[in-house]
Amino acid sequence: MRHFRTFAAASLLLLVIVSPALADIAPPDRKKVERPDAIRTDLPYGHMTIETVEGLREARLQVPRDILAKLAPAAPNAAGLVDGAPSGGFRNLSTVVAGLFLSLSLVLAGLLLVRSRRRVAGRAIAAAVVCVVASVAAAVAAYANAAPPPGWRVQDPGTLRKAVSGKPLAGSVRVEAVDVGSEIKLLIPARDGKGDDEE
Amino acid sequence: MQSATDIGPLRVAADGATPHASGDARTAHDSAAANAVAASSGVVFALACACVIASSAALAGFAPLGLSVATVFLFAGPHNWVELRYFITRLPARLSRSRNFFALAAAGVLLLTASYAALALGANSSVWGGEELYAGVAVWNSLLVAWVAALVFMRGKLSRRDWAWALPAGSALIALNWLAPQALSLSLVYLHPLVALWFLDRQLKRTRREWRRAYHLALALLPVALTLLWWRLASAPSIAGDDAVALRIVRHAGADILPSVSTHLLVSTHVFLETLHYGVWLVALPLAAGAVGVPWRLQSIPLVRHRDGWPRTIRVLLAAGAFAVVALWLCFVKDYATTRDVYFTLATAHVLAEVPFLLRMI
Repeated sequence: MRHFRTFAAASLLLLVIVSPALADIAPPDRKKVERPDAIRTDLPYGHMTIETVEGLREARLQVPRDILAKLAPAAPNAAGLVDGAPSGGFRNLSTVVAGLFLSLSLVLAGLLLVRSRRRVAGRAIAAAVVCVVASVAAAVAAYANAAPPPGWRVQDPGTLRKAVSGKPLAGSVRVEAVDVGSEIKLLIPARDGKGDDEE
Repeated sequence: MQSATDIGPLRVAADGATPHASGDARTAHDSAAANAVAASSGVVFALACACVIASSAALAGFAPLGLSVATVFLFAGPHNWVELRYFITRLPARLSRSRNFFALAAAGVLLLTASYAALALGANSSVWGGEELYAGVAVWNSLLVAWVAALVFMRGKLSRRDWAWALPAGSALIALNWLAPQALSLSLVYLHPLVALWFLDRQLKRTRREWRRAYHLALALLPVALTLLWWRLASAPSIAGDDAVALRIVRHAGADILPSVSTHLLVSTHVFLETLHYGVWLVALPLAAGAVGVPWRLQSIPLVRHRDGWPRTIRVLLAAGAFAVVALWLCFVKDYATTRDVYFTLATAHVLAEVPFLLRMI
Protein backbone atom coordinates (compact mmCIF):
# COMPACT_ATOMS: atom_id res chain seq x y z
CA MET A 1 0.00 0.00 0.00
CA ARG A 2 2.85 2.35 0.91
CA HIS A 3 4.41 1.82 -2.51
CA PHE A 4 1.15 2.60 -4.26
CA ARG A 5 0.87 5.81 -2.25
CA THR A 6 4.43 6.70 -3.21
CA PHE A 7 3.68 5.96 -6.83
CA ALA A 8 0.46 8.01 -6.75
CA ALA A 9 2.31 10.93 -5.13
CA ALA A 10 5.03 10.72 -7.77
CA SER A 11 2.47 10.68 -10.58
CA LEU A 12 0.65 13.69 -9.08
CA LEU A 13 3.92 15.58 -8.69
CA LEU A 14 4.81 14.78 -12.27
CA LEU A 15 1.45 16.02 -13.56
CA VAL A 16 1.84 19.28 -11.63
CA ILE A 17 5.35 19.75 -12.99
CA VAL A 18 4.40 19.16 -16.60
CA SER A 19 1.15 21.14 -16.53
CA PRO A 20 2.76 24.25 -18.08
CA ALA A 21 4.13 22.15 -20.95
CA LEU A 22 2.92 23.07 -24.39
CA ALA A 23 2.36 19.49 -25.42
CA ASP A 24 -1.31 20.04 -26.26
CA ILE A 25 -0.66 22.91 -28.64
CA ALA A 26 -0.54 21.94 -32.27
CA PRO A 27 3.02 21.85 -33.58
CA PRO A 28 4.00 24.44 -36.19
CA ASP A 29 3.33 23.49 -39.77
CA ARG A 30 6.67 22.20 -40.91
CA LYS A 31 6.05 20.81 -44.33
CA LYS A 32 9.09 19.15 -45.75
CA VAL A 33 10.49 21.23 -48.58
CA GLU A 34 13.27 19.78 -50.69
CA ARG A 35 16.12 22.29 -50.59
CA PRO A 36 19.20 21.99 -52.78
CA ASP A 37 21.52 22.33 -49.79
CA ALA A 38 19.72 19.62 -47.79
CA ILE A 39 21.78 16.58 -46.82
CA ARG A 40 19.77 13.55 -47.90
CA THR A 41 20.77 11.16 -45.12
CA ASP A 42 18.03 8.81 -46.31
CA LEU A 43 20.00 8.03 -49.47
CA PRO A 44 22.88 5.57 -49.62
CA TYR A 45 26.33 6.92 -50.32
CA GLY A 46 29.57 5.71 -51.82
CA HIS A 47 32.85 6.85 -53.31
CA MET A 48 32.84 7.64 -57.00
CA THR A 49 35.60 7.82 -59.60
CA ILE A 50 35.52 8.88 -63.21
CA GLU A 51 37.99 7.01 -65.34
CA THR A 52 38.83 7.00 -68.99
CA VAL A 53 39.24 3.51 -70.34
CA GLU A 54 41.18 2.70 -73.48
CA GLY A 55 39.16 0.64 -75.92
CA LEU A 56 35.83 1.27 -74.23
CA ARG A 57 33.18 2.17 -76.81
CA GLU A 58 30.41 3.49 -74.66
CA ALA A 59 30.26 5.19 -71.27
CA ARG A 60 29.36 2.92 -68.42
CA LEU A 61 28.19 3.70 -64.87
CA GLN A 62 29.12 0.92 -62.49
CA VAL A 63 27.15 0.81 -59.26
CA PRO A 64 27.92 -1.77 -56.55
CA ARG A 65 25.03 -4.12 -55.99
CA ASP A 66 25.06 -3.29 -52.24
CA ILE A 67 24.16 0.33 -52.99
CA LEU A 68 21.44 -0.71 -55.42
CA ALA A 69 19.99 -3.05 -52.78
CA LYS A 70 19.67 -0.12 -50.39
CA LEU A 71 17.71 1.76 -53.03
CA ALA A 72 15.25 -1.09 -53.54
CA PRO A 73 11.69 -0.43 -52.38
CA ALA A 74 10.76 -1.93 -49.03
CA ALA A 75 9.10 -5.32 -49.13
CA PRO A 76 5.86 -5.98 -47.25
CA ASN A 77 6.44 -6.18 -43.52
CA ALA A 78 7.25 -9.61 -42.19
CA ALA A 79 8.18 -11.21 -38.92
CA GLY A 80 8.61 -8.05 -36.97
CA LEU A 81 7.27 -4.61 -36.57
CA VAL A 82 10.30 -2.53 -37.14
CA ASP A 83 11.09 -0.69 -40.32
CA GLY A 84 11.51 2.69 -41.94
CA ALA A 85 12.14 5.98 -40.24
CA PRO A 86 9.82 7.92 -37.97
CA SER A 87 7.98 10.89 -39.42
CA GLY A 88 7.88 14.40 -38.02
CA GLY A 89 4.54 13.91 -36.27
CA PHE A 90 5.77 10.86 -34.43
CA ARG A 91 8.98 12.65 -33.45
CA ASN A 92 7.00 15.42 -31.76
CA LEU A 93 4.88 12.90 -29.87
CA SER A 94 7.88 10.76 -28.95
CA THR A 95 9.78 13.75 -27.56
CA VAL A 96 6.85 14.65 -25.30
CA VAL A 97 6.30 11.09 -24.06
CA ALA A 98 10.03 10.48 -23.58
CA GLY A 99 10.27 13.68 -21.57
CA LEU A 100 7.35 12.63 -19.39
CA PHE A 101 8.84 9.24 -18.61
CA LEU A 102 12.31 10.66 -18.01
CA SER A 103 10.77 13.07 -15.51
CA LEU A 104 8.88 10.20 -13.92
CA SER A 105 12.05 8.11 -13.66
CA LEU A 106 13.93 10.98 -12.02
CA VAL A 107 11.09 11.60 -9.56
CA LEU A 108 10.89 7.90 -8.68
CA ALA A 109 14.65 7.64 -8.30
CA GLY A 110 14.59 10.69 -6.06
CA LEU A 111 11.86 9.16 -3.94
CA LEU A 112 13.89 5.99 -3.62
CA LEU A 113 16.85 8.02 -2.42
CA VAL A 114 14.69 9.88 0.07
CA ARG A 115 13.21 6.61 1.30
CA SER A 116 16.63 5.21 1.94
CA ARG A 117 17.20 8.24 4.28
CA ARG A 118 20.70 8.48 5.65
CA ARG A 119 21.53 4.98 4.57
CA VAL A 120 22.25 5.77 0.95
CA ALA A 121 21.39 2.46 -0.59
CA GLY A 122 23.59 1.22 -3.39
CA ARG A 123 20.57 0.23 -5.42
CA ALA A 124 19.01 3.67 -5.09
CA ILE A 125 22.26 5.15 -6.35
CA ALA A 126 22.25 2.64 -9.18
CA ALA A 127 18.67 3.65 -10.07
CA ALA A 128 19.66 7.31 -10.00
CA VAL A 129 22.67 6.59 -12.19
CA VAL A 130 20.42 4.73 -14.66
CA CYS A 131 18.10 7.74 -14.80
CA VAL A 132 20.95 10.19 -15.28
CA VAL A 133 22.48 8.00 -18.00
CA ALA A 134 19.09 7.73 -19.69
CA SER A 135 18.68 11.51 -19.49
CA VAL A 136 22.12 12.08 -20.94
CA ALA A 137 21.48 9.53 -23.70
CA ALA A 138 18.20 11.22 -24.51
CA ALA A 139 19.84 14.63 -24.53
CA VAL A 140 22.57 13.33 -26.80
CA ALA A 141 19.97 11.83 -29.11
CA ALA A 142 18.11 15.14 -29.17
CA TYR A 143 20.99 17.61 -29.44
CA ALA A 144 23.99 15.53 -30.38
CA ASN A 145 27.13 17.54 -30.95
CA ALA A 146 29.36 14.63 -31.75
CA ALA A 147 30.55 13.96 -35.25
CA PRO A 148 27.78 12.19 -37.12
CA PRO A 149 28.43 8.77 -38.66
CA PRO A 150 29.72 8.76 -42.27
CA GLY A 151 26.27 8.39 -43.82
CA TRP A 152 25.08 11.55 -42.08
CA ARG A 153 27.97 13.78 -43.06
CA VAL A 154 28.12 15.98 -46.13
CA GLN A 155 29.65 13.77 -48.81
CA ASP A 156 32.80 15.44 -50.12
CA PRO A 157 32.77 15.53 -53.94
CA GLY A 158 36.61 15.72 -53.92
CA THR A 159 38.18 16.15 -57.31
CA LEU A 160 34.94 15.30 -59.09
CA ARG A 161 34.37 19.07 -59.33
CA LYS A 162 37.10 19.19 -61.98
CA ALA A 163 34.92 17.05 -64.22
CA VAL A 164 32.57 19.99 -64.74
CA SER A 165 33.67 23.19 -66.39
CA GLY A 166 30.57 25.34 -66.10
CA LYS A 167 28.95 23.81 -69.12
CA PRO A 168 26.79 20.76 -68.53
CA LEU A 169 28.23 17.57 -69.96
CA ALA A 170 25.81 15.07 -71.43
CA GLY A 171 25.88 11.65 -73.00
CA SER A 172 24.40 8.19 -72.71
CA VAL A 173 25.70 5.63 -70.25
CA ARG A 174 25.10 1.99 -69.59
CA VAL A 175 24.17 1.34 -65.96
CA GLU A 176 25.75 -1.81 -64.66
CA ALA A 177 25.42 -3.48 -61.24
CA VAL A 178 28.73 -4.94 -60.12
CA ASP A 179 29.34 -7.47 -57.36
CA VAL A 180 32.95 -6.58 -56.59
CA GLY A 181 34.07 -3.43 -54.83
CA SER A 182 32.24 -0.64 -53.06
CA GLU A 183 33.03 2.23 -55.42
CA ILE A 184 30.75 3.80 -58.00
CA LYS A 185 32.62 4.20 -61.29
CA LEU A 186 31.80 6.21 -64.35
CA LEU A 187 33.82 4.74 -67.16
CA ILE A 188 34.30 7.00 -70.18
CA PRO A 189 35.69 5.75 -73.49
CA ALA A 190 39.13 7.22 -74.07
CA ARG A 191 38.47 7.80 -77.77
CA ASP A 192 35.43 8.60 -79.85
CA GLY A 193 33.70 5.46 -81.00
CA LYS A 194 30.87 5.02 -83.48
CA GLY A 195 27.76 4.60 -81.38
CA ASP A 196 25.84 2.78 -84.08
CA ASP A 197 28.41 0.02 -84.53
CA GLU A 198 27.58 -3.46 -83.38
CA GLU A 199 29.67 -4.59 -80.46
CA MET B 1 10.55 -28.77 -6.85
CA GLN B 2 12.95 -31.50 -7.76
CA SER B 3 13.59 -34.90 -6.30
CA ALA B 4 16.81 -35.62 -4.48
CA THR B 5 17.80 -38.21 -7.04
CA ASP B 6 18.69 -35.64 -9.65
CA ILE B 7 20.98 -33.58 -7.43
CA GLY B 8 24.49 -34.96 -7.60
CA PRO B 9 26.15 -33.07 -4.73
CA LEU B 10 23.32 -33.84 -2.30
CA ARG B 11 23.74 -37.51 -2.90
CA VAL B 12 27.44 -37.20 -2.23
CA ALA B 13 26.79 -35.23 0.95
CA ALA B 14 24.31 -37.84 2.14
CA ASP B 15 26.91 -40.54 1.64
CA GLY B 16 29.40 -38.59 3.64
CA ALA B 17 26.99 -37.60 6.38
CA THR B 18 26.45 -41.10 7.74
CA PRO B 19 29.80 -42.81 7.61
CA HIS B 20 30.09 -46.29 8.99
CA ALA B 21 32.49 -46.51 11.87
CA SER B 22 34.39 -49.29 10.16
CA GLY B 23 34.50 -47.72 6.76
CA ASP B 24 35.50 -44.11 7.26
CA ALA B 25 38.41 -44.37 4.89
CA ARG B 26 36.33 -46.17 2.27
CA THR B 27 33.55 -43.57 2.52
CA ALA B 28 36.03 -40.73 2.20
CA HIS B 29 37.53 -42.46 -0.80
CA ASP B 30 34.05 -42.92 -2.33
CA SER B 31 33.25 -39.29 -1.66
CA ALA B 32 36.45 -38.12 -3.31
CA ALA B 33 35.78 -40.43 -6.26
CA ALA B 34 32.25 -39.05 -6.58
CA ASN B 35 33.61 -35.50 -6.50
CA ALA B 36 36.13 -36.37 -9.17
CA VAL B 37 33.40 -37.90 -11.35
CA ALA B 38 31.26 -34.79 -10.84
CA ALA B 39 34.18 -32.52 -11.74
CA SER B 40 35.02 -34.55 -14.82
CA SER B 41 31.37 -34.53 -15.94
CA GLY B 42 31.48 -30.74 -15.54
CA VAL B 43 34.53 -30.59 -17.78
CA VAL B 44 32.77 -32.78 -20.36
CA PHE B 45 29.75 -30.47 -20.19
CA ALA B 46 31.95 -27.38 -20.66
CA LEU B 47 33.75 -29.01 -23.60
CA ALA B 48 30.42 -29.88 -25.20
CA CYS B 49 29.25 -26.29 -24.69
CA ALA B 50 32.47 -24.96 -26.23
CA CYS B 51 32.10 -27.29 -29.24
CA VAL B 52 28.49 -26.22 -29.76
CA ILE B 53 29.42 -22.52 -29.53
CA ALA B 54 32.33 -22.90 -31.97
CA SER B 55 30.45 -25.05 -34.50
CA SER B 56 27.34 -22.84 -34.36
CA ALA B 57 29.42 -19.72 -34.95
CA ALA B 58 31.26 -21.35 -37.85
CA LEU B 59 28.05 -22.60 -39.48
CA ALA B 60 26.31 -19.27 -38.92
CA GLY B 61 29.22 -17.45 -40.51
CA PHE B 62 29.49 -19.69 -43.56
CA ALA B 63 25.83 -20.46 -44.30
CA PRO B 64 23.61 -18.04 -42.38
CA LEU B 65 20.51 -18.37 -44.56
CA GLY B 66 20.63 -22.16 -44.76
CA LEU B 67 21.22 -22.52 -41.03
CA SER B 68 18.39 -20.12 -40.24
CA VAL B 69 15.92 -21.99 -42.44
CA ALA B 70 16.99 -25.39 -41.10
CA THR B 71 17.06 -24.51 -37.39
CA VAL B 72 13.72 -22.71 -37.40
CA PHE B 73 12.12 -25.58 -39.34
CA LEU B 74 13.53 -28.29 -37.10
CA PHE B 75 13.68 -26.75 -33.65
CA ALA B 76 11.25 -23.82 -33.41
CA GLY B 77 8.24 -25.99 -32.55
CA PRO B 78 9.96 -28.57 -30.31
CA HIS B 79 11.78 -25.92 -28.27
CA ASN B 80 8.45 -24.19 -27.59
CA TRP B 81 7.02 -27.48 -26.37
CA VAL B 82 10.01 -28.09 -24.10
CA GLU B 83 9.71 -24.56 -22.73
CA LEU B 84 6.02 -25.14 -22.03
CA ARG B 85 6.86 -28.39 -20.26
CA TYR B 86 9.60 -26.70 -18.25
CA PHE B 87 7.39 -23.79 -17.19
CA ILE B 88 4.58 -26.12 -16.16
CA THR B 89 7.10 -28.03 -14.06
CA ARG B 90 8.20 -24.83 -12.37
CA LEU B 91 4.63 -23.77 -11.63
CA PRO B 92 3.79 -24.49 -7.98
CA ALA B 93 0.65 -26.51 -7.23
CA ARG B 94 -0.40 -23.88 -4.69
CA LEU B 95 0.19 -20.28 -5.68
CA SER B 96 -0.50 -18.86 -2.20
CA ARG B 97 1.43 -15.54 -1.92
CA SER B 98 2.48 -15.68 -5.57
CA ARG B 99 -1.11 -15.56 -6.80
CA ASN B 100 -0.99 -11.86 -7.82
CA PHE B 101 2.43 -12.28 -9.40
CA PHE B 102 1.24 -15.12 -11.63
CA ALA B 103 -2.06 -13.37 -12.37
CA LEU B 104 -0.18 -10.32 -13.63
CA ALA B 105 2.24 -12.56 -15.53
CA ALA B 106 -0.56 -14.49 -17.28
CA ALA B 107 -2.54 -11.36 -18.09
CA GLY B 108 0.57 -9.72 -19.51
CA VAL B 109 1.50 -12.72 -21.67
CA LEU B 110 -2.03 -12.97 -23.10
CA LEU B 111 -2.65 -9.25 -23.68
CA LEU B 112 0.82 -8.45 -25.02
CA THR B 113 0.77 -11.44 -27.38
CA ALA B 114 -2.69 -10.54 -28.66
CA SER B 115 -1.75 -6.88 -29.14
CA TYR B 116 1.50 -7.87 -30.88
CA ALA B 117 -0.46 -10.04 -33.31
CA ALA B 118 -2.87 -7.13 -33.90
CA LEU B 119 0.10 -4.83 -34.59
CA ALA B 120 1.52 -7.35 -37.07
CA LEU B 121 -1.85 -7.51 -38.84
CA GLY B 122 -2.03 -3.71 -38.88
CA ALA B 123 1.48 -3.52 -40.29
CA ASN B 124 0.57 -5.81 -43.17
CA SER B 125 -2.67 -3.99 -43.97
CA SER B 126 -3.07 -0.65 -45.69
CA VAL B 127 -5.10 0.74 -42.78
CA TRP B 128 -2.08 2.03 -40.88
CA GLY B 129 0.54 4.39 -42.17
CA GLY B 130 4.12 4.49 -40.99
CA GLU B 131 3.39 7.01 -38.24
CA GLU B 132 0.59 4.97 -36.68
CA LEU B 133 2.73 1.86 -36.84
CA TYR B 134 5.63 3.62 -35.11
CA ALA B 135 3.35 4.88 -32.37
CA GLY B 136 1.84 1.40 -32.04
CA VAL B 137 5.26 -0.21 -31.64
CA ALA B 138 6.30 2.44 -29.10
CA VAL B 139 3.11 1.88 -27.07
CA TRP B 140 3.57 -1.91 -27.18
CA ASN B 141 7.20 -1.61 -26.06
CA SER B 142 6.14 0.73 -23.25
CA LEU B 143 3.52 -1.75 -22.04
CA LEU B 144 6.10 -4.53 -22.18
CA VAL B 145 8.66 -2.58 -20.13
CA ALA B 146 5.99 -1.49 -17.62
CA TRP B 147 4.86 -5.12 -17.26
CA VAL B 148 8.41 -6.37 -16.70
CA ALA B 149 9.12 -3.58 -14.19
CA ALA B 150 5.92 -4.41 -12.29
CA LEU B 151 6.86 -8.12 -12.22
CA VAL B 152 10.37 -7.32 -10.97
CA PHE B 153 8.92 -5.08 -8.27
CA MET B 154 6.38 -7.72 -7.17
CA ARG B 155 8.97 -10.47 -7.19
CA GLY B 156 11.20 -8.31 -5.02
CA LYS B 157 8.41 -7.91 -2.50
CA LEU B 158 7.69 -11.65 -2.49
CA SER B 159 11.33 -12.54 -1.91
CA ARG B 160 11.81 -9.70 0.60
CA ARG B 161 14.31 -7.91 -1.59
CA ASP B 162 14.21 -4.24 -2.43
CA TRP B 163 13.74 -4.23 -6.17
CA ALA B 164 11.94 -0.89 -6.31
CA TRP B 165 14.74 0.37 -8.56
CA ALA B 166 12.85 -1.41 -11.36
CA LEU B 167 10.29 1.42 -11.42
CA PRO B 168 12.63 4.35 -12.21
CA ALA B 169 14.75 2.11 -14.45
CA GLY B 170 11.62 0.99 -16.31
CA SER B 171 10.47 4.59 -16.73
CA ALA B 172 13.87 5.57 -18.13
CA LEU B 173 13.77 2.63 -20.54
CA ILE B 174 10.28 3.62 -21.70
CA ALA B 175 11.58 7.14 -22.34
CA LEU B 176 14.46 5.82 -24.44
CA ASN B 177 12.04 3.51 -26.25
CA TRP B 178 9.98 6.49 -27.39
CA LEU B 179 13.09 8.05 -28.91
CA ALA B 180 13.92 4.89 -30.88
CA PRO B 181 11.20 2.24 -30.65
CA GLN B 182 12.71 0.15 -33.42
CA ALA B 183 15.97 -0.12 -31.46
CA LEU B 184 14.22 -1.69 -28.48
CA SER B 185 12.35 -4.13 -30.74
CA LEU B 186 15.60 -5.16 -32.39
CA SER B 187 17.35 -5.53 -29.05
CA LEU B 188 14.61 -7.96 -28.01
CA VAL B 189 15.33 -10.03 -31.11
CA TYR B 190 19.00 -10.31 -30.14
CA LEU B 191 18.67 -10.49 -26.36
CA HIS B 192 15.94 -13.13 -26.18
CA PRO B 193 18.25 -16.01 -27.22
CA LEU B 194 20.62 -15.06 -24.40
CA VAL B 195 17.88 -15.45 -21.78
CA ALA B 196 18.07 -19.22 -22.31
CA LEU B 197 21.68 -19.13 -21.14
CA TRP B 198 20.55 -17.42 -17.93
CA PHE B 199 17.87 -20.07 -17.41
CA LEU B 200 20.52 -22.75 -17.80
CA ASP B 201 22.72 -21.05 -15.24
CA ARG B 202 19.87 -20.93 -12.69
CA GLN B 203 19.00 -24.56 -13.37
CA LEU B 204 22.62 -25.62 -12.92
CA LYS B 205 22.69 -23.78 -9.62
CA ARG B 206 19.76 -25.89 -8.48
CA THR B 207 20.62 -29.31 -9.80
CA ARG B 208 24.19 -29.46 -11.13
CA ARG B 209 26.25 -27.09 -9.07
CA GLU B 210 29.44 -28.93 -9.99
CA TRP B 211 28.93 -28.02 -13.67
CA ARG B 212 28.37 -24.35 -13.06
CA ARG B 213 31.96 -23.17 -12.97
CA ALA B 214 32.81 -25.07 -16.11
CA TYR B 215 29.69 -23.63 -17.75
CA HIS B 216 30.78 -20.08 -16.88
CA LEU B 217 34.16 -20.78 -18.45
CA ALA B 218 32.46 -22.08 -21.60
CA LEU B 219 30.25 -18.97 -21.64
CA ALA B 220 33.38 -16.82 -21.85
CA LEU B 221 33.73 -18.21 -25.38
CA LEU B 222 30.50 -16.51 -26.42
CA PRO B 223 31.90 -12.95 -26.66
CA VAL B 224 35.00 -14.38 -28.33
CA ALA B 225 32.86 -16.12 -30.97
CA LEU B 226 30.77 -12.98 -31.50
CA THR B 227 33.86 -10.80 -31.84
CA LEU B 228 35.33 -13.22 -34.38
CA LEU B 229 32.07 -13.23 -36.35
CA TRP B 230 31.87 -9.44 -36.38
CA TRP B 231 35.54 -9.07 -37.26
CA ARG B 232 35.34 -11.54 -40.17
CA LEU B 233 31.99 -10.34 -41.51
CA ALA B 234 32.10 -6.58 -40.86
CA SER B 235 32.96 -5.86 -44.48
CA ALA B 236 31.37 -8.96 -46.01
CA PRO B 237 29.09 -8.29 -48.97
CA SER B 238 25.43 -8.39 -48.11
CA ILE B 239 23.54 -11.62 -48.56
CA ALA B 240 22.52 -12.23 -52.13
CA GLY B 241 18.97 -13.43 -52.48
CA ASP B 242 15.74 -11.61 -53.04
CA ASP B 243 13.25 -14.44 -52.54
CA ALA B 244 10.54 -14.20 -49.89
CA VAL B 245 12.37 -16.34 -47.33
CA ALA B 246 15.70 -14.51 -47.65
CA LEU B 247 13.96 -11.13 -47.40
CA ARG B 248 12.14 -12.19 -44.24
CA ILE B 249 15.29 -13.52 -42.59
CA VAL B 250 17.27 -10.40 -43.46
CA ARG B 251 14.54 -8.06 -42.21
CA HIS B 252 14.07 -10.10 -39.03
CA ALA B 253 17.79 -9.63 -38.29
CA GLY B 254 17.36 -5.85 -38.52
CA ALA B 255 18.59 -5.00 -42.03
CA ASP B 256 16.13 -2.10 -42.27
CA ILE B 257 17.16 -0.62 -38.95
CA LEU B 258 20.89 -0.96 -39.49
CA PRO B 259 21.23 -0.35 -43.24
CA SER B 260 24.96 0.35 -43.07
CA VAL B 261 25.72 -3.03 -41.49
CA SER B 262 26.32 -6.04 -43.72
CA THR B 263 23.24 -8.27 -43.77
CA HIS B 264 25.58 -11.25 -43.74
CA LEU B 265 26.87 -10.09 -40.35
CA LEU B 266 23.38 -9.42 -38.99
CA VAL B 267 21.88 -12.73 -40.07
CA SER B 268 24.94 -14.69 -38.93
CA THR B 269 24.84 -13.11 -35.49
CA HIS B 270 21.12 -13.70 -35.12
CA VAL B 271 21.14 -17.29 -36.31
CA PHE B 272 24.18 -18.06 -34.13
CA LEU B 273 22.36 -16.85 -31.02
CA GLU B 274 19.15 -18.60 -32.06
CA THR B 275 21.00 -21.89 -32.53
CA LEU B 276 22.43 -21.60 -29.01
CA HIS B 277 18.94 -20.80 -27.72
CA TYR B 278 17.49 -23.95 -29.30
CA GLY B 279 20.41 -26.02 -28.08
CA VAL B 280 19.97 -24.86 -24.50
CA TRP B 281 16.23 -25.54 -24.39
CA LEU B 282 16.28 -28.83 -26.24
CA VAL B 283 19.41 -30.43 -24.85
CA ALA B 284 21.21 -28.59 -22.07
CA LEU B 285 18.29 -27.69 -19.82
CA PRO B 286 16.65 -31.16 -19.80
CA LEU B 287 20.12 -32.60 -19.17
CA ALA B 288 20.75 -30.20 -16.30
CA ALA B 289 17.30 -30.79 -14.81
CA GLY B 290 17.96 -34.54 -14.59
CA ALA B 291 14.98 -36.80 -13.93
CA VAL B 292 12.63 -33.80 -13.64
CA GLY B 293 13.51 -32.74 -17.16
CA VAL B 294 12.60 -36.02 -18.86
CA PRO B 295 9.67 -34.90 -21.02
CA TRP B 296 7.51 -38.03 -20.75
CA ARG B 297 7.79 -38.36 -16.95
CA LEU B 298 4.72 -36.31 -16.14
CA GLN B 299 4.71 -37.42 -12.50
CA SER B 300 7.64 -35.05 -11.90
CA ILE B 301 5.28 -32.11 -12.54
CA PRO B 302 3.83 -30.75 -9.27
CA LEU B 303 0.56 -29.82 -10.97
CA VAL B 304 0.13 -33.45 -12.06
CA ARG B 305 1.35 -35.07 -8.85
CA HIS B 306 -0.32 -32.85 -6.27
CA ARG B 307 -3.87 -33.61 -5.14
CA ASP B 308 -4.79 -29.94 -5.74
CA GLY B 309 -3.27 -30.03 -9.23
CA TRP B 310 -4.87 -30.34 -12.65
CA PRO B 311 -3.41 -33.58 -14.04
CA ARG B 312 -5.93 -33.94 -16.85
CA THR B 313 -5.60 -30.32 -17.99
CA ILE B 314 -1.82 -30.55 -18.01
CA ARG B 315 -1.87 -33.80 -20.00
CA VAL B 316 -4.29 -32.32 -22.55
CA LEU B 317 -2.22 -29.13 -22.77
CA LEU B 318 1.02 -31.03 -23.42
CA ALA B 319 -0.69 -33.32 -25.96
CA ALA B 320 -2.13 -30.28 -27.74
CA GLY B 321 1.35 -28.73 -27.72
CA ALA B 322 2.84 -31.85 -29.30
CA PHE B 323 0.10 -31.78 -31.93
CA ALA B 324 0.88 -28.11 -32.63
CA VAL B 325 4.55 -28.97 -33.16
CA VAL B 326 3.64 -31.54 -35.84
CA ALA B 327 1.17 -29.08 -37.40
CA LEU B 328 3.90 -26.42 -37.49
CA TRP B 329 6.23 -28.79 -39.37
CA LEU B 330 3.52 -29.55 -41.91
CA CYS B 331 2.81 -25.84 -42.37
CA PHE B 332 6.54 -25.15 -42.84
CA VAL B 333 6.63 -27.79 -45.58
CA LYS B 334 3.54 -26.29 -47.23
CA ASP B 335 4.53 -22.59 -47.09
CA TYR B 336 7.72 -21.83 -45.23
CA ALA B 337 7.69 -18.03 -45.59
CA THR B 338 4.14 -17.46 -44.35
CA THR B 339 4.48 -20.01 -41.56
CA ARG B 340 7.67 -18.30 -40.44
CA ASP B 341 5.83 -14.97 -40.21
CA VAL B 342 2.95 -16.46 -38.24
CA TYR B 343 5.29 -18.44 -36.00
CA PHE B 344 7.47 -15.48 -35.03
CA THR B 345 4.39 -13.40 -34.30
CA LEU B 346 2.76 -15.99 -32.03
CA ALA B 347 6.09 -17.06 -30.52
CA THR B 348 6.10 -13.72 -28.70
CA ALA B 349 4.11 -15.61 -26.06
CA HIS B 350 7.07 -17.81 -25.14
CA VAL B 351 9.42 -14.83 -25.10
CA LEU B 352 7.12 -13.11 -22.62
CA ALA B 353 6.49 -16.24 -20.54
CA GLU B 354 10.21 -16.51 -19.88
CA VAL B 355 10.18 -13.27 -17.87
CA PRO B 356 8.12 -14.34 -14.82
CA PHE B 357 9.69 -17.80 -14.65
CA LEU B 358 13.21 -16.39 -14.84
CA LEU B 359 12.33 -13.90 -12.09
CA ARG B 360 11.04 -16.80 -9.98
CA MET B 361 14.39 -18.54 -10.37
CA ILE B 362 16.53 -15.54 -9.41
